[in-house]
Amino acid sequence: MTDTVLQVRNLTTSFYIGGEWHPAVRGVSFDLARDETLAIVGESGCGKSVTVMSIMRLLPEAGSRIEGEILLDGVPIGTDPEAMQKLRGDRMAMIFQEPMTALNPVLRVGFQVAEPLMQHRGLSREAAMEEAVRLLELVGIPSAKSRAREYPHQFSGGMRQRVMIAMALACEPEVLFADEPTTALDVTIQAQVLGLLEDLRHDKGMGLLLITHSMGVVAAVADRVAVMYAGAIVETGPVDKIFAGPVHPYTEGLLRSIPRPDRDAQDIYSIPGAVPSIDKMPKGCRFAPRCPLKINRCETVDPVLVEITPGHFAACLVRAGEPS
Amino acid sequence: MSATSASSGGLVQTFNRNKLSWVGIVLFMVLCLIAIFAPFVAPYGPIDQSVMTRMRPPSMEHLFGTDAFGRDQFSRAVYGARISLSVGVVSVFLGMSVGGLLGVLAGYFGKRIDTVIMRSMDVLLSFPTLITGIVIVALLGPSLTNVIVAITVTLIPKFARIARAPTLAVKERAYIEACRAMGFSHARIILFHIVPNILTEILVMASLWTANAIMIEAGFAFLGLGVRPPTPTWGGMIREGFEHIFQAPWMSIFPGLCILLAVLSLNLIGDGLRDALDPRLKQVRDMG
Repeated sequence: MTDTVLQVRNLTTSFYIGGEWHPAVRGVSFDLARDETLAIVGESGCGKSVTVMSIMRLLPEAGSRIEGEILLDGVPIGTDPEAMQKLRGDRMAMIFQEPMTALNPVLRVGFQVAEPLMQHRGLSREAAMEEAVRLLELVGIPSAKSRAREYPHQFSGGMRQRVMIAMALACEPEVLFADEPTTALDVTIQAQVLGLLEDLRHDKGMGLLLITHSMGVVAAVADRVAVMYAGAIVETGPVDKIFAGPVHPYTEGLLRSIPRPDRDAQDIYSIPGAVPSIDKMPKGCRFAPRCPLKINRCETVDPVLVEITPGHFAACLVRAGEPS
Repeated sequence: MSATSASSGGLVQTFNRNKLSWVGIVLFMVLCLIAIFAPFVAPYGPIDQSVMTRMRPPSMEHLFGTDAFGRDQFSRAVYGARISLSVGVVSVFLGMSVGGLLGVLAGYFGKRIDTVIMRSMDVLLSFPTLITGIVIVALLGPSLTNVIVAITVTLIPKFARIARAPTLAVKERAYIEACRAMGFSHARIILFHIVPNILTEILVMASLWTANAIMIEAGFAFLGLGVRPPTPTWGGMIREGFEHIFQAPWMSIFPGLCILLAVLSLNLIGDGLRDALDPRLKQVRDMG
């Protein structure tokens, strides 16, 4: 896990709302190695998706501002729109949350899987279609050759997500972003799709960045995890360390709120309050209003990530202290 | 919209259920065949004159009667179908291609491109169709090509509007975002992902406006702005018959009926298509 493929440094994405710039993602930094799964976890609206969209430069140009540095294979990317278009789908690809709507209803599935190859590799239609059938087999679609000629509405949700994965993998990207790839699927299919992603990541030596709000998914597939709250990473480290000893009270809350079959539904913990809206962020630690451990300093000082043990960082004044 | 385009099988079924739209299709096909095989269908040449048989009423010899030059009106109507139909089809095809493309570009790129394209379309739209046509034909001179040009120009802004609205809706769909995430070029997204999704809506309008174009052509011919005589056109025949409307009403009535049939067939096709494509109407039918 030393061969870093993607480095994100101080990524800050702001949106122009009501005459002011409000950061939706602030100072996010992380590394992603080849053959590694990094999970970004957090509640809805904490900036997980915006982080990925910023890296891919998929946000609308008007009304958004992206700062910071992104390096793919050590080379800075992300200023020239045309160069980014060539990278997307070729060296970095993305899988969306909704397999039901992310495929074009009027085009055959095989053609849609073949398209990235025609766009980025310049393959002829016939060659790309052949390759598409091979990709559909790779993601475990039975009788791929005949199914390639079908339309998306003839596929189930799980099968469509497999098609999306085949599309994303067509050009063998180095980094794969998966934005809640299993949220829209039922639990048994979730496990299959996650297993497939893991296998493919390992076979191709990709870096997989998995966005999820489910700690269960994190435990199942991730090597490292980054917990995001209100646009910033509040705790990051190897999965086993975080699950065994969470430092940030927010991480703790997330872990306590995983439903477990041996407990009653009433016993599920829920963190009081809600994520503050983007234009009403508190001054100091943004988790302070909901935090059980809050001290006075939390309301004025914005905590930074401090290394607890090697590779495990947390940003909490009470638990992790301030950098010396 | 996604439901209709996803289930093209259901589309054909719905279209089939509408008997009248099949009447329209058959009628239009017959008219097209007549136009294509005019030399075999017409009993006489379209400009063959005969002093002996001037202004004869309809008979077995001359189905539609004869005109002031003794020309067989049926043969003229048959050849006239060539002009009317080709003007309708060609100008709508051109208007659809150019106007549709402009509308898609305006809707897809938005911002300044949208403003520039749509405001110029508004300028074109602000003139009545006939006036625009008359100006263009007056400038370029009356000929078949110029009539097609004139009608095309009046159709372009209409198609641009019709294409822009669904483009705005489709470009927000998740699969278009997925296309951008896959790094597809704008050209690929527009041609392979947006156009197939809005094509059905445009085709409905195309069939209805073909009828319209045929009427405009007839109007031009009636005003003497169309194809020059003696080439027969339906509008021109009505114009010629107009002078003898009381002595020989058949001279105007039959070409008028031809226009009626062509327009009717296209409107029936258009209605059938629209019913088959409108999800709201479909819902009502499914419930009933």
